[in-house]
Amino acid sequence: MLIKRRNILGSMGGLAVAPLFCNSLAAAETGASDLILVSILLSGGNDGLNTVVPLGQYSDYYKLRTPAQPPPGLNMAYAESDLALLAFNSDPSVPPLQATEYAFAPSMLAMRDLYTSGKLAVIAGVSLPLAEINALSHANATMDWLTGQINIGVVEPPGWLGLTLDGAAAGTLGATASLSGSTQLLVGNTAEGLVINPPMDYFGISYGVSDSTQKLQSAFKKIGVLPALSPTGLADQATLQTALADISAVQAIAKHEKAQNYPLESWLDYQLRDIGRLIVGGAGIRGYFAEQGGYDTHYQQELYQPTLLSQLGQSIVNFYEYLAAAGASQNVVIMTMSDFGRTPHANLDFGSDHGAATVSFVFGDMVKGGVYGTYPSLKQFDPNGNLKLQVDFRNVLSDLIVWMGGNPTPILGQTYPSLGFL
Amino acid sequence: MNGKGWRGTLACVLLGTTFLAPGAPAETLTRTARPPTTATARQLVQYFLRRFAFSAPPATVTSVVGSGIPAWLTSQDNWQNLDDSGSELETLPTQLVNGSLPDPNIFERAVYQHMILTPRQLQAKLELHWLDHFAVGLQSVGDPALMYHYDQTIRANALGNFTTLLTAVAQEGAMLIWLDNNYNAGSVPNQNFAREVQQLYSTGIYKLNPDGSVIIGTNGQPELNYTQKDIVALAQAMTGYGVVYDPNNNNPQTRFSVQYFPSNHYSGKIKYWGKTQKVPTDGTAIAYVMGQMAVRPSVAPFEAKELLQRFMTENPTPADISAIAAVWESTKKAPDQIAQVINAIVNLPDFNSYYDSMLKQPAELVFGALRQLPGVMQATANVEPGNSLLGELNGLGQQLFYPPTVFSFYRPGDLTTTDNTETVLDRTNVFANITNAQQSGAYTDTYIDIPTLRTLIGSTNGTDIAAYLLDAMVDGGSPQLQSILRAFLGKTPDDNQVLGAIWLLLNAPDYTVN
Repeated sequence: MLIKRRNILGSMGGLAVAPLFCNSLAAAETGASDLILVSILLSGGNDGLNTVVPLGQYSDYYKLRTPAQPPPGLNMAYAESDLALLAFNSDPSVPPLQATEYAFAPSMLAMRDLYTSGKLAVIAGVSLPLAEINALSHANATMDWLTGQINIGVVEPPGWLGLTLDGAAAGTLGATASLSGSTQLLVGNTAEGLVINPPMDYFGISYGVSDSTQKLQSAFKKIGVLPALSPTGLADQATLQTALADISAVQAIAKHEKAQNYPLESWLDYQLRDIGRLIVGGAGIRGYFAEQGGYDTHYQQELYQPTLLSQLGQSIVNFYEYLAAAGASQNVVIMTMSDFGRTPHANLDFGSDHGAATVSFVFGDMVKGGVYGTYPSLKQFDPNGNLKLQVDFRNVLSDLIVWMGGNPTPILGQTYPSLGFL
Repeated sequence: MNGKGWRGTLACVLLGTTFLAPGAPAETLTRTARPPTTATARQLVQYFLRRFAFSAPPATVTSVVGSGIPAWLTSQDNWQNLDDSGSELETLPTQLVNGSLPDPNIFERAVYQHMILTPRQLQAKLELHWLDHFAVGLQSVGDPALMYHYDQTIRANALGNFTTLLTAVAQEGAMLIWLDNNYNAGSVPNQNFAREVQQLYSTGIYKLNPDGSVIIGTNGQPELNYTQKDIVALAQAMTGYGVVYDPNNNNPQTRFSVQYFPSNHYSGKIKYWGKTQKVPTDGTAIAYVMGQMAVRPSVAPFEAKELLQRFMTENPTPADISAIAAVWESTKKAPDQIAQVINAIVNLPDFNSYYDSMLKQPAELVFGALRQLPGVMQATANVEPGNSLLGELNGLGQQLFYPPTVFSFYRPGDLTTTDNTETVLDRTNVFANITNAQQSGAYTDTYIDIPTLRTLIGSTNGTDIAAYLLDAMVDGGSPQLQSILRAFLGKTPDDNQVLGAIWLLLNAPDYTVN
């Protein structure tokens, strides 16, 4: 267990809980850099082929996606007419009805608007390398995306965002935070991930029977700084100390940034709203992690994926509008990643199975909108019959690490040329 | 037993006739920071019962100290002989109401009640392990009765033979639905189950040496246990099964069955693992494939390592994996294979060196509190016994019928991912509920029974109460913790102070460790 910030707090002994009574909002002013990355994991393996449809290969797309006559509502192949309003070219300034290269899924109107703004990069053909794709394991693929490495038998590897932010100036709450529960991406050699379950307003202690009894609170503080009897207990104790130290800062921001009119229609909205509150509230956190599940669409995909993609686009719009209204959007970039893509052909459950290449999105005021990478061929596949890799996933991460001010080579194990979206 | 009017005090069920005298044995009160090898005999029994039971109250610990761990294991291995009749608090519904289940939570609640109350603790602990291993979620399955049936199958085979267990699980309706093998058919079948049954349930992804290390091929890459063609062929081999509901059967527990539909079974040539297979077409295809799967070479080290990671240490040594894999392999035809493997883990020379080295799972945190202290599941006019446990487990991220993903609640060897700034605060809330219920009008139905606890302690003296609680919950605790607790309780603590002391200990890192 990596407990770097916790160790520092632990070394403060009886003073470890002192930040509980400090207003840490001012800490935000101490950051040497103010670039903020919000990473969203689309867990389960998003079907890139039904996220961004290659209009130039439409006839092949249609054949692959209709292996049998589907019942109404289950056809995985979108009709060309349904895609017209969501079409786009590599040049974002080309309006939908004139675009002929690609189209977002019909449920992705919000994402199409983001693309038109010129602030959305669509990275096509993103994939893990073939050796890892052969396993097509959610666990492996997710671990790879979150660590920027191919991991086999590695115990608790650090995350690429945590490594990027090791040593970076940060506020009291540290450099990174997860609103989804997972900290894999955020833990570096010194950086670690604060975890907050939305809504952040409830980040605190419940004393129960003696909530108002100072004696109980006092005893709990003493227990919090006692040396636990085992290394595992010490690690848990350090986590507890970190949490105690973070409560006042989190609650101060929660009270100050209520975001009362923020649209909340999905769990991703809840996560991004609180990330927005932390950013606007000056938490000083530079790396955030959120998650949207449900993309493992083996069965009747059209009942699920369109809704998820609609929520994704709308959630990003909601988040961006909230930041922009507060004048806090300029230095924030959002990126999406997903385990892997899915099989180009539909199965007879009108779903898709684990595949290879998919798409990633990067959005923000500092992003150069457009399409990056090459869309995989729908005629020639990899040895497993899946969409071929066009952009190694680490190439995407490399550009983001450089943007954040980090050195990607030691983190990713090799150097990648810039894709140019930042 | 019907839930209405039932009031079950766990202490009555769990405790034998031997009560811990006021003031625990001296060694439990003088523990200081020390390496694990210096744990006392009592502490090692407490450690053992945390790992292979949902903990135990002080009197049971005392009993096992006297009779020995081997005797306890023998009785648990013969679980059929342990009277389980007191572990069913409620009668499960036998009639649908307006086409719906009377109370969907009752099935999940029954599993929790049983894990806490049953004297078959080793079986219950393995039941939790296999529920983790073969994680299935009600969010997809839909019918809680199917989930309950699934749990019952796992429980019955939890200490049995792995091939039997895997074969039974693969043909459960809940599993068919969860991994999309329900009505799977044709030449382009859904691959979900065919892949996960290998990756997660039997061999793992990579070929393994007996010590659990990954076999590297001549190309420098890890060797996979399967190819993509194998996945497709295995999926084809297991087509033809589906869950059928009898419209004339109004009993939620029996109205479903898994049936075989020959016309849905793929009829072409099936070749996997390098050879053409003679997959039966008489409805035994899944059993045939699982029979092959369960004895593949990587299964022994894969399952051995996972059992070690759940029950001994998250980072087992290659030597220990080899030793346990060898036992797994040599007992693979035995009806009590898993029980024999568990016994072998307990007998590993370094088992005791992992005292307090792991974190408790959320289920262990909550169930342990209710077993170590006299917990109570109280039925009232508004709540059913143990219903609030669903909320407590959900609050800590381990509601057993709702695993977050196919990986279950955490990946083996990755339990520390459950310990973060949010979960340590969530614990305070869950334990506040458990220690607060009696005081606030029973808005929750599961809590610590203070009157019974006071009877067990047999003293109103704060020092005696502190000693009992420290022994029950943190193996005695450090001198500093003892001092804090005694100071908090004072000379003659009232009920609120006792509950406060329990809350303090439940949130102490020394309680969180396993």
